[in-house]
Amino acid sequence: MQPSRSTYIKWGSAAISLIWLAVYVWFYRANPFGGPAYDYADNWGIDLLTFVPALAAAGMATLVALQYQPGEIPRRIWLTFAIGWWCWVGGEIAGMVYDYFYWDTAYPELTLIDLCWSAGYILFGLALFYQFRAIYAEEEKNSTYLYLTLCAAALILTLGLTYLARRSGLGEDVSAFALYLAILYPVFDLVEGGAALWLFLLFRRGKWGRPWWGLIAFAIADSISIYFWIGGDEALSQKTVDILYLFSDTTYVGAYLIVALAFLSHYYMLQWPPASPKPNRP
Amino acid sequence: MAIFFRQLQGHTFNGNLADLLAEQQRFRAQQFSGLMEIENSNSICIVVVLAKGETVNAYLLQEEARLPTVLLENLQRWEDATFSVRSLPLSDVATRLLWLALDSQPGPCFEIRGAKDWQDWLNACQDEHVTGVVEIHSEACDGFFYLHNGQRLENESIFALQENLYSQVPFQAESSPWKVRLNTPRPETLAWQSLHLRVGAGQWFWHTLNRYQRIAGQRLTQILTHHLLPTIREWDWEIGPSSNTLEDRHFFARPSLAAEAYRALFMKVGEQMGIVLGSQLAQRFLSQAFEQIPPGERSVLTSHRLLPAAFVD
Repeated sequence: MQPSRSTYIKWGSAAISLIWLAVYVWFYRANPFGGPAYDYADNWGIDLLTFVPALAAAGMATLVALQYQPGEIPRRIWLTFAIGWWCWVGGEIAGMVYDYFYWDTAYPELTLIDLCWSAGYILFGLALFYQFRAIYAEEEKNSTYLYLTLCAAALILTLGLTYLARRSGLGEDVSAFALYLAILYPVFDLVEGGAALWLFLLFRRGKWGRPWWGLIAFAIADSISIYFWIGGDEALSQKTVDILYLFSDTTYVGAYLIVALAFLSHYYMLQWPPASPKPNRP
Repeated sequence: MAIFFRQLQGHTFNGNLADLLAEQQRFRAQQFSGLMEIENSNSICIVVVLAKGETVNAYLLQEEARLPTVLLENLQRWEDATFSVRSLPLSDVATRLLWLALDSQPGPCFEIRGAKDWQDWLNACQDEHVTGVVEIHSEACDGFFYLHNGQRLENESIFALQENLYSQVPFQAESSPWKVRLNTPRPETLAWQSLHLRVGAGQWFWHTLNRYQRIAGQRLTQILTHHLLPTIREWDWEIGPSSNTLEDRHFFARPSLAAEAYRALFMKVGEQMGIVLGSQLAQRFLSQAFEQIPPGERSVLTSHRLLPAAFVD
């Protein structure tokens, strides 16, 4: 049987994604614009190589969400998830803009980037919440309060962790608010990465679970950065640290690509009429 | 001589055993479902029920009783060499309802006059959660329908009127009184098991697809049912999966045949759900839906090994 057009597109996109990651790694290591020193042009290249997958992830998520009718639970899940990705696209753009204006100086403590990341995390959390509710609640119930309670618990937990971090001497050179934000991200990563891992175990090979794999990849990528941030790099050789940074940053771009590919596959799964199935006699 | 569905013409002839067997062969060749009414000169009557050309059972009609019997043994005992025969191809729904009525314990016959009396009686059945096959005879209309805990099942209703079959009660169409009989099903009979299997499988399908639709959406649910069609077409089953219901209008001669059909369909359902949601969640939703089926139907499904665990890899 001849492979269908959608099969070509899906495998073609997967191949392009791998090539994209290879280009990213090459760019990361070679610094092609700035010679031996990492400079603004190289940074811009890296940003662009990150921005395009982010755009692809947000675009594909939106396309899939719009395939569902208003009022359907999957539309609510994927649209919330898609808006989260758009927030992160906003974060990537804001990052590029801030790099332009603050290339030679430090960023302000609260930036638009932080707002975009935080909004993205909250929306991912909400999408995860909708997904879990669809799985575990047999009847649809209004449980917005439950989600708000979970958010409040995460914020309070972060507050506690900020206090502990301060006491143990972490982030002495930054304000309490900046430290709070810096700890909030790992908390979100931990909670949402854990929830995504739970969904991964629930869905296993089911196609529905694949878009969530992106959150697991982000959690892995961020956990390396967090480990270094709390001083883990001091115990490692510079070469190991460099390799882990490369792995972390590539995984971060890979996460966007995973989400985009998963939604592409999801999009073709929704096409009507479906490819004619083969009959099977009992 | 017409006894059941008298408003439908059928094929009436006088003949011997060879003629009867030839008629049965015609039903088999054409895969007709329907009935044959055979009567001798002493007004002893036997009704044969056929599903897709296959003889399901024969019943000796004796006053109010319908006794399962072996056709050839009876014919050999009859002194007449010839007898009158009325053969009537019917829809599968009509034939399987007749089968269920003949396999049930007949209740007393009573008369209902007018739409108001009819509605009052139906309301009383609903209040008392009556279960049974209702048999109606009047000048213009003969029919059967199944009351399940007082509710008339639309898919298990058939009325013959002016040479046609309808699934709606055509009460307004005539003014003559109706002779009504409530037949109580016998759980040990194959007809009753077939019905419960059908109702159980239908409910399971409905609960499963509703649950699936809630998580995966309408489009993927349509795609799932679309994937059932090739199997249904290949086997010529009169089963239509639409709007999350499994409309089974096929007359399976034995419950085991129906169970095989449902097994094939639930295999596909499990497979499709597994592709989208993964086997673990597919299993969970099939199990949850199974738990929602009333115990009677669930035990019939279980006895035919139609269990959630059987349909997911």
